[in-house]
Amino acid sequence: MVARNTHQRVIGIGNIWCGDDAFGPRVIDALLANGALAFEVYKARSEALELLELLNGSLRVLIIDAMFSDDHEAGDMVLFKFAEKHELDGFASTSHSTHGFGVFQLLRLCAALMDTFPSVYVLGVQGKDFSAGQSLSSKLEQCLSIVVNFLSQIEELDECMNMPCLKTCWPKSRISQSSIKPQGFEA
Amino acid sequence: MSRQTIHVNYLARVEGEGELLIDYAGPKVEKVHLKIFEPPRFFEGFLLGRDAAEAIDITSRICGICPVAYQMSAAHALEGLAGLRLPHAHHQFRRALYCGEWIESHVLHILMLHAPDFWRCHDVVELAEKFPDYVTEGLRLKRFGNRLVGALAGREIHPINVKLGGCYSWPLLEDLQSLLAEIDDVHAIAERLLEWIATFQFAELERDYEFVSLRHPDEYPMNAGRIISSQGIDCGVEEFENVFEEYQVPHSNALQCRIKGRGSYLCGPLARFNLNFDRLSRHCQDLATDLGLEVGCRNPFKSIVVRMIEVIYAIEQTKIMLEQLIPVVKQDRQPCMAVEMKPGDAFGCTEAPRGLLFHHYKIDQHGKIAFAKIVPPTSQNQLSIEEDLGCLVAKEFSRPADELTKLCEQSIRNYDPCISCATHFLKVSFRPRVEGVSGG
Repeated sequence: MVARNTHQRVIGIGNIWCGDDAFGPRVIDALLANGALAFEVYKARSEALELLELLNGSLRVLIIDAMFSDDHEAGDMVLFKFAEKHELDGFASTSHSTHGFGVFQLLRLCAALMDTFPSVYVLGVQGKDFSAGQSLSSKLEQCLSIVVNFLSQIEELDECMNMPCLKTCWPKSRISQSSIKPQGFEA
Repeated sequence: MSRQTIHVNYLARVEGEGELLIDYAGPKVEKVHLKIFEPPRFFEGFLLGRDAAEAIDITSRICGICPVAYQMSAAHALEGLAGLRLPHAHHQFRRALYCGEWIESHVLHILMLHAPDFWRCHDVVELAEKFPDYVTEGLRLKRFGNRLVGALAGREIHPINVKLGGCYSWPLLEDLQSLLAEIDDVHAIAERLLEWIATFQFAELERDYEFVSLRHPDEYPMNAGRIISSQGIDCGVEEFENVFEEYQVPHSNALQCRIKGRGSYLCGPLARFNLNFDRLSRHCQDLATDLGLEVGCRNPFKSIVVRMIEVIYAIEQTKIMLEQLIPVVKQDRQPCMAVEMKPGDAFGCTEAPRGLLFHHYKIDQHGKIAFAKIVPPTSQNQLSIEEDLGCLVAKEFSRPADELTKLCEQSIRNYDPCISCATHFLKVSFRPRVEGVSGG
């Protein structure tokens, strides 16, 4: 970790053994390899207490996670911004089983447990292949360099809204989040 | 009375995918179907032809919540066939590992799946809004269980350190010490959560269950023991299939299980508690007694309290096991014994968080698996779940439909069913396709 601004954190979530699901952690690895950063960076699992601890004490957080949605194609990048707790209301319906406890549900749980909720950005990147393996698909390799280059150059996470190649940006235009399926968590 | 139907087409807050259908007219319940539609997973098929030693890692993939149970049942079955008696240190290692699984699995169920029912919350998020302190403490407790599994067995989900004859390597000393340093805190958290859970309002339902669990001469059962029941069963693990039978019902992809000639039975925390109360620590016995929870409890809605007592017991056991394991780790003793597999039948049965988990393997002369049968607790409890629902609806039929539906869902969650575990043994036969003939 390179601590520049302890109030801003970038968190990569994903399973490094499941193909494109490794996108989040791979971004963190690349940022660390690049050296000096304006933010603290972390890899995390989809675990509530860990995320809660990372959100606590932060002013702004960017969570990067691979996603799979029927509405998108591989490599599509979608940014969500939650400036207030209530913006999560109704955004993430409860998953039917614990096998699919996704980032939005985790954020809702953390929000319920926190007095002060930071500004949270979630960058979802549509993956193509989530099967076992350690390599990203070519589309996500391209996304990786775009995201890493951009984050290496900015000082404030609020600039995320200007990230190049964003397919959609919420709340600017609400996308159908109901079809987004969390990846990488299995029975 | 007009005929009414309760239909929940996708059960929430259970592990896996199932559906509930109940037809009733007043107190007369005509049909109760716990329909498990999750597709079969063919794990027994995957095992055929594999080396016996692989069973531990393959079967652990059946469940991300209770992989240790699968590893333990497989390891004990195959080590039993090999005639292996592991040194005491391995007993401590495996019991501590099982404690980790009980803690993380029980707390996950209590907090995220079951407790919301008691407060009419839609999910754990709503529960967290009402009780942020308890939920935060519960998350910490669950993480302790996960960390324990990770420290002992390489990783928290689908652990990889167990092998026939012991383990691949002893855990790191600093990990054990770090867990021990936290243990008094998590014990205190667990007791606070128990106090809270004891204040829940429990629906009134009592059935004359036949409880079935393991019984060990010295321990509250996890890894070993004979199979006993509240109505006189007392048999060795190898006799399981003489006493219990699996059968297919049209409405479920999971086999159901019953006692031959008798019918349903109940395994899991309530059965363990009732059949092994004297094996709990004095402290846990006192906690239960103080809460009015005594041997003979037949209210399935109170299983949530029993689970929390088992969490406290598992924390106490963890402390004892880790303290005994630390000198072994310091001495860096051999972590594994040589295993010479023999042909024959291997039987293993351990206490998964949800109840008995039975394994039967036939090993051929080359050390390969020629037959595999796995009977998970959820399939054993399915019939009992349906009977609970029948009794509940007969008793509570006058409630408004939505309220009764919620109560029925809660009743299913009393069992912490793991549907994904239960759907891997459907028999499928493949026939060669005959050219020119369609259909079939």
